Amino acid sequence: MNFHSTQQLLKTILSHFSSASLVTDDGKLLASIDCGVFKSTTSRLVVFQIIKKYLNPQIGDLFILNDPGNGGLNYQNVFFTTRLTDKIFLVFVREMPQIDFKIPPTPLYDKGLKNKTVWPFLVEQNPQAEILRRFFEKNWHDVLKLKNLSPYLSEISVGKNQLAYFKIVAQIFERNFNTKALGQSEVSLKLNAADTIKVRLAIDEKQNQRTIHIDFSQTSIAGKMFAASHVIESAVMMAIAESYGMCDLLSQPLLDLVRLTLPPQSIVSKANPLGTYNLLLQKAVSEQVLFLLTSLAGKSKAAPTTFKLKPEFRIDLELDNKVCEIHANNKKFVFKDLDYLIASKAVLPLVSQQVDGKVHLKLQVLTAKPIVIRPQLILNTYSQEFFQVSDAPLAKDSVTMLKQNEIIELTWSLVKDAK
Amino acid sequence: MTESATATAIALYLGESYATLGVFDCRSKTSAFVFEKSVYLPQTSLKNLLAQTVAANPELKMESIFIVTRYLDRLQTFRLGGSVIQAVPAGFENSYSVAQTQMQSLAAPALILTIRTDLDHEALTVELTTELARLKKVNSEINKVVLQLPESLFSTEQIETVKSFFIANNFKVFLVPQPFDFESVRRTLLNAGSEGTKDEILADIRSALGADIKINFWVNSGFADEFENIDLYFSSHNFLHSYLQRENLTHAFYFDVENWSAITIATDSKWHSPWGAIEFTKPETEKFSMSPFCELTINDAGQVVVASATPQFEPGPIVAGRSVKTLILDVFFEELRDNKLISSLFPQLMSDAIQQKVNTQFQILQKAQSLDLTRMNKNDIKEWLRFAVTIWILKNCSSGSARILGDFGSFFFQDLKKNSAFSYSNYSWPKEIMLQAKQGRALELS
Repeated sequence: MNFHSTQQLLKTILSHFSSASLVTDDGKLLASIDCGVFKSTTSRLVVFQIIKKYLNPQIGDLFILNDPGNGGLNYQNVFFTTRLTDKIFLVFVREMPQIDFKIPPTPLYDKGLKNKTVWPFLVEQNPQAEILRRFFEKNWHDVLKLKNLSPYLSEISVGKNQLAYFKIVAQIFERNFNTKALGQSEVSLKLNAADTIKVRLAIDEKQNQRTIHIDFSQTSIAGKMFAASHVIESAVMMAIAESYGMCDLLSQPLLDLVRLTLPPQSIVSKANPLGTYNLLLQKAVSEQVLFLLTSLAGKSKAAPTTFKLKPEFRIDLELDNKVCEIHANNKKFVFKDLDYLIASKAVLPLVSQQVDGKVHLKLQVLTAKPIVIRPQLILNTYSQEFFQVSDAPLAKDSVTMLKQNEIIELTWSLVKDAK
Repeated sequence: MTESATATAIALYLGESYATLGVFDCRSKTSAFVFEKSVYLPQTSLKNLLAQTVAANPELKMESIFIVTRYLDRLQTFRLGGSVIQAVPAGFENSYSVAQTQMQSLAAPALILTIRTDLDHEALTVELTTELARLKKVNSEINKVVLQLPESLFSTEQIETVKSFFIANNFKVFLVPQPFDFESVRRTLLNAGSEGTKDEILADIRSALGADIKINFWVNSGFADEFENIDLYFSSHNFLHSYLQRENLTHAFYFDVENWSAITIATDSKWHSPWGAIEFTKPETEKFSMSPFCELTINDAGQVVVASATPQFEPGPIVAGRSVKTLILDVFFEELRDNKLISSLFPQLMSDAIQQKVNTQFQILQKAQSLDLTRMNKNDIKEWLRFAVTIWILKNCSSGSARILGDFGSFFFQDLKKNSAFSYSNYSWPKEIMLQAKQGRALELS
């Protein structure tokens, strides 16, 4: 199988997922996709190592894990690990908002069958049994869909084919690397009075050896906010891949060229047991790294001169076990299931307009059932009042319960021509 | 319907970039056509195709035309509503877009008409007159209006006043059935925004075949002369879905000159359209990641890649005789030349000059690839495409039985022959349309 066919095969397999990796049995990243809100390429490698070492998956097995202290992101993002061929594993992440408990490395399917010990405890006895059953079965079904491709994957497993593939990926990266500037730059971000993330980027080439060094050694010791190193590394890797045009070829040769310094027990290297700040810190770090790469390589008129976090938020609205995600940044505003909430008469729109890049939404709660609002990420918003509940700004760090007839109001500005 | 009234008919497949038709006698028991013709639409219009059909068959009086189409797919890359007024209460301007602001626009912001809730018939009429004059300065050709007027905010009289005003001003009025339901708003705006394209098709047909021609489009599970415009977006999907049902298949993979896609026996109740979600039951489909009209180009790393830009039908492939860009379609030069339909779409295909041009373009493309280990010639690209399609089919059909259809079907079937889940059929749109038209007619007569 030549390079193009190999690349096509890997792409076709991963196209089924938004966050997934194909990993060789010796832990090398063959291919990765990271289109979800969270970035998790390195986290998936950590999860693979844990599952491989302690549970040694066989073809037909499916293992799950969501423990942020063990390679996970938070309870809602479940990592699935399965063996596709003798030498290739698939690790993917899917979000299930209804999971609010820790899952250690757990066998969900054994040799193609539901694990009889785990399934009753994990699924059948859960108050959300039906939702969880559908979720886990769907993910297993998605793995089964790939079985037709196993013969082709086996071909990639052959050592020399893998080497040939990695060699070409390295050559492509080398070309892209050579088109970008070398040098050093650094940027700081004060998260609050005590917490600062300082990133230093050094891109260098000596005696044909290329290195990208991301150094967080001046970052504060973990205080209120902190995240595991794999969480930070995943965000950094995606920012680098994006900057070097390697998103489609994110694999081991690229990982090998990037060196990270993450001081122990700092904001960027201490696992948070609930993963509370993982998303916020990923966003912050990835914007810092992209800023450094842009300002270093670009020096163009478009390159920003000062660093400022872009406005962004993600707030979940929960009703009847259904989680409706509201997510916006300076380019888009997305309210998943707004149509459903209106059609099911849970809310009545009082205002719903988009004029001159400004979104204004005002909803009155009609349902007597509780609606829960959970802020997941609020990053440098335009104003404190962008989300109001009964004329008061939404509490950023806690859950808000909406009552019947209460009114929520959102106002958000989009950058013009972003559409 | 009397027997003589439907004696001669046309079976027309109207794709995005090409049209193919067959003239048949409804009473005949054979499946042969009296006349067949196919054209590439950027070079020959639908109107001309039909006019040529009439001219070639002066003795026949065409009574009906049966159409399966995916022509409206071309609108999916457009912002719609350039001639549509959106009449809404204050606070509901572009309400349909709030759930997902990055989707394509269905209505021009400059043509929003905010209707006040506190005006009586007279005051409302005065205001509408002033506003219409203003909007006509924005676009003098506006002729459709979508009324998104909730009954909780407007009285029946007010709604009637607005409706009557626009009817009196020769507007086609589209009423949103549930003004607070944004899926319903999107559906109505889409119907209004597609009206012009549908009218153009109907005008072409009537102009060539006469005003009395009976025009039937395939919608849902049969031919119909009354439908919503949204139905036309799924005419070909639903036609293939009926084929799956008849043939007891779970999947079909369809490959013609403009469209490579999969369709399954399962249905979705929601259409995640380029303009946002719309409640609409339709077959589950998936497009292959590359269109035959995608350009083959060289990326920064010196590799040949398929360009990510939306495929364009103008100026078309090199094989159509006008382009300088190399499209995926051009890779299949030899296969195209051996295909009866395609060789009639692209008559220049047989010329030595085109063959020479195709070869030269691929030689240039090969030389432009600077990474030795990934360099591909025309045959390598062809094999790579077949591989890409094969694994896509295998991934999409892990169970059930599937059929490979379309002009490139036999090419892509080659690597699947040994798999008993897959079969191949030399599918012909006009023939299948004719069969369904005859069957429908037989049912009607019985």
